[in-house]
Amino acid sequence: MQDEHDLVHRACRGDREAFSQLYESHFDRIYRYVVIKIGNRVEAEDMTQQVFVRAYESIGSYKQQGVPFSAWLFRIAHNQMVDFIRKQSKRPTVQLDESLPVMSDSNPQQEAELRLNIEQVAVAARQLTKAQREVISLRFAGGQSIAEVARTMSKSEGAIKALQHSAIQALRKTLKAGTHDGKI
Amino acid sequence: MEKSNKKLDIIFDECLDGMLTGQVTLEQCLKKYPDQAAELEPLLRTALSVNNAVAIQPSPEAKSRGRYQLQLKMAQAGKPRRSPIFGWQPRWAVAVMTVMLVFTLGGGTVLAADSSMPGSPLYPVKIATENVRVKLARSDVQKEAILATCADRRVAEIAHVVAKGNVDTQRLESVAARYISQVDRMSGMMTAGDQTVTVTGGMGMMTATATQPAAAPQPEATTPPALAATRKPADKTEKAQSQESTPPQATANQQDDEIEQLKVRIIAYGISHPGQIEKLLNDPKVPEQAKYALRRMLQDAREKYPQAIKNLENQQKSSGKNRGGD
Repeated sequence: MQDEHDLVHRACRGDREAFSQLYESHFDRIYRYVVIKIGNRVEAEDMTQQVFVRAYESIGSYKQQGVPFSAWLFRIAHNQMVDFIRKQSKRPTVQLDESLPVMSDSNPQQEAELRLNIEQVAVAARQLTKAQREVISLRFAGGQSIAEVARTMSKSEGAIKALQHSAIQALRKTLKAGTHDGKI
Repeated sequence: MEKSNKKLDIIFDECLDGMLTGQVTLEQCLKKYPDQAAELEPLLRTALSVNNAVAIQPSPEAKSRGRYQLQLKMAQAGKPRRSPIFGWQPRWAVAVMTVMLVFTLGGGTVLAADSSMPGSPLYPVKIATENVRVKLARSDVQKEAILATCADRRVAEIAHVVAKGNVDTQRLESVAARYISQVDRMSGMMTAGDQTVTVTGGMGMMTATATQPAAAPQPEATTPPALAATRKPADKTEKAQSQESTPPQATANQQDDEIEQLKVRIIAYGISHPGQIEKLLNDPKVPEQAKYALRRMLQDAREKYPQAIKNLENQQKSSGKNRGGD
């Protein structure tokens, strides 16, 4: 972390090499966070690129004493997605392939081998509350710890654990419902 | 086995965290919390499925494209703005910066930096000096000439980096982005309708350079003509400095000459740069990831040089008409 602190410090002072290194170390996590939110890998690639361009433009305003750098990046990504989703709101909801695997209580062995894809998770996550969706996105796609999610969302760790639990319960319910609807 | 009064969300997170970090297995967790096992198991399996589903990687091409876009942004925007106080720099401030640069580093350092290559400690000085020279250019023709010289240097630098082998993709992308930024700016100068080609002697960037095309990618041999002119002011520069006493017709002829010289140079670069970049694209020493940036360079070279030539020709026609009307 000390290394990252140093990189961020240098990037804030205009060191392009340092910012490039931050790009390398954070790109994948931001990408996954965006995919799970919008459910489209191609658009997520473009959006992730834009997140870093925007971060570079405003790195001068980043205060190290405040939120961690990754939290700041996730915030930029979040704001960018709010704009994106607002523009895409008229688009019909994506329906998933009926033959895709779904959760089942009756066959634990089969469940253990369950393979979901990120698009399915993204669709199922739309049924969650905003806070639950954010926790799932940051925790799983963003790879943050509970403590980091708590800092990013400005909530207590206890609150994040409760949200994580309720989000997984809700996701499970949604994925199970897919067995009856033929879709997620 | 552990009897627990912990809330389920806390137990769930403890198990999940242990499983995600590979410290415990699902079975160990269920064994540890038998009272909650029935409730925990499906939730943990769901969480693991979600975790597996999101473990995707962006395509290397996307990451490379993003890296390139970022480098381009960096080249266009310069250093990120830290404070509005430093956001605006009047012309006199640029001049002061130049003097400070020379005094701080020493004129020798600035000259030595001129031949430095990417990765060298002096390379940032070279780029900073170029930026200052562009800012101090007194006419569009002069600015375009400096930008053309800088772009030619970038091609030579990439050729140098590739020739040395063990190519650093990021570094190459950074130079490529700077090339595109400079070629874009150059081709945007002298657009139709620009009637203000006020050529002055200035830093002598336009002198004695016109017939030198970009040579083969040998940076050592490529002494950027415009910048060489800065070090050794040529006769034409001195003439330009004394142009206040030159008759208007002579000044107009000098403008035409300078535009013509620039055009010849741009034509030469427009031919040599795509050829050199294509050669680099076929060089096995260039990593696949870096080729996206080179392809963008090639596309830019093919599109922007003809545009720049067209603009210069329009400018020539326009000044011819004006003179004809006088």
